[in-house]
Amino acid sequence: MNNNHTDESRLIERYLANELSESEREAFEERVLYSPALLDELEAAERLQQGLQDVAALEMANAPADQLTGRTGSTVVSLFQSPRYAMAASVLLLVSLSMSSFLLQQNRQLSTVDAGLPVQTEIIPLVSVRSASGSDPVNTLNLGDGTNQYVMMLDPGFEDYAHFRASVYRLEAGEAKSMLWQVDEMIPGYEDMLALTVPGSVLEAGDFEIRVEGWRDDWPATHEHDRVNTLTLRVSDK
Amino acid sequence: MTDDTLKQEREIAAGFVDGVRRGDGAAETQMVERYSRGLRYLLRRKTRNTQLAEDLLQETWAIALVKIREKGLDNPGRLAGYLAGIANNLAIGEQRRVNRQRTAVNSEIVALIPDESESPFRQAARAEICKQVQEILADLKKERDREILQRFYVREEDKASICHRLGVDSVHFNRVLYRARQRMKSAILASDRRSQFQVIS
Repeated sequence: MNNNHTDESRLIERYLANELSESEREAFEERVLYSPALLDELEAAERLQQGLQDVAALEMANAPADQLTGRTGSTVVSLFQSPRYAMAASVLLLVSLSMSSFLLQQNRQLSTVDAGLPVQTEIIPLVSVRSASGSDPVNTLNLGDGTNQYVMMLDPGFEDYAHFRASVYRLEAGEAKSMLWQVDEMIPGYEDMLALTVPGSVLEAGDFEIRVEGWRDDWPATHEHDRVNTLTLRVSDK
Repeated sequence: MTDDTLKQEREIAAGFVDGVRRGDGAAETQMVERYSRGLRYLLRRKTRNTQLAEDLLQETWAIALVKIREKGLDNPGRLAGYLAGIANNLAIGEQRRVNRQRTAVNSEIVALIPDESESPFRQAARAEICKQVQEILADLKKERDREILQRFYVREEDKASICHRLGVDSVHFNRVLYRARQRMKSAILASDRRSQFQVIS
């Protein structure tokens, strides 16, 4: 997380934990009234809390009797050990944010963009679908005249990695056949997301898979990247 | 938040107060629309009761509008702070009182405030939230991280004790909470988008 979002996030957490002084709380609550972005964060936290309480209540209602009267802390842990939490499918939406600037990542491999020419850049929303094979991809992109550059906002997940790698594969019959684009040593930036820049010239009509992988610096060179996220994208004709 | 944002808010707020004082109905409507969502959140958080929060929201506006129409505000630019103060005091009063005296309300303004507690989809929305949270929890590879969320949001333990008990540092704690919140925010937006599509079709 960058410094601005760290400070804001800490302030939010302190407010939610009732750790602000009286004057701090008053100033914060005043801002809540006229800041939709701040309210989005707080309402997300509110729903998260509500959902966690409901999930905990459901688990408690269905837990075996011996788990309800266990060791200190065991009840808390056991609530989340249920295989029920291994969901078959989920849908996450990464919102296309209007930005006045974005981070440009170094690309070690193919780069067909002439850095000297101004390129129209489009930020596109992505949805991560974990399963439901055979269904149409939720993410779509229209290439237009094919000269645009696309910034795809990617979720870096919950684990802490030194950096991330994002790769774009062409799908054929549902299988990743050829890697068309890869950016390494990415770090989360704006809104703690990864910004993958892909030139339109790399893409063509068809289905693509975008893989996000994480790397830790203390791993040996032979260690494989951890798979963090996988997204599908359907590109329509220019 | 930048100084420009604060300055802009002060100007907007002062404009609303001036408009309400002049009897401008459009200004009243816009003011209610601008601040109701935030007020509703504050009242929901303080009362832990959606229906009560809606009642207090209407009461907040009733009090504020009478005051602004008749006498204005000493500091019009601090309208948001004034409204938040009323809401806070009402919530505190509600905690202390058993029988609450109702304030006369302006039915025209009240009609502008949607009563979300009566939404016929509330049960379905809550089930979807539960599903969204389960998906977030499933994405957490470590039980320790799931326990961070559970202890902070459900058991409302303080950050220091959670970090000490689970052996995590402050940075990791902040990261888990921040990313869980971002996931929930994305899930909310995705849900809203699907709802729009369903209405259109």
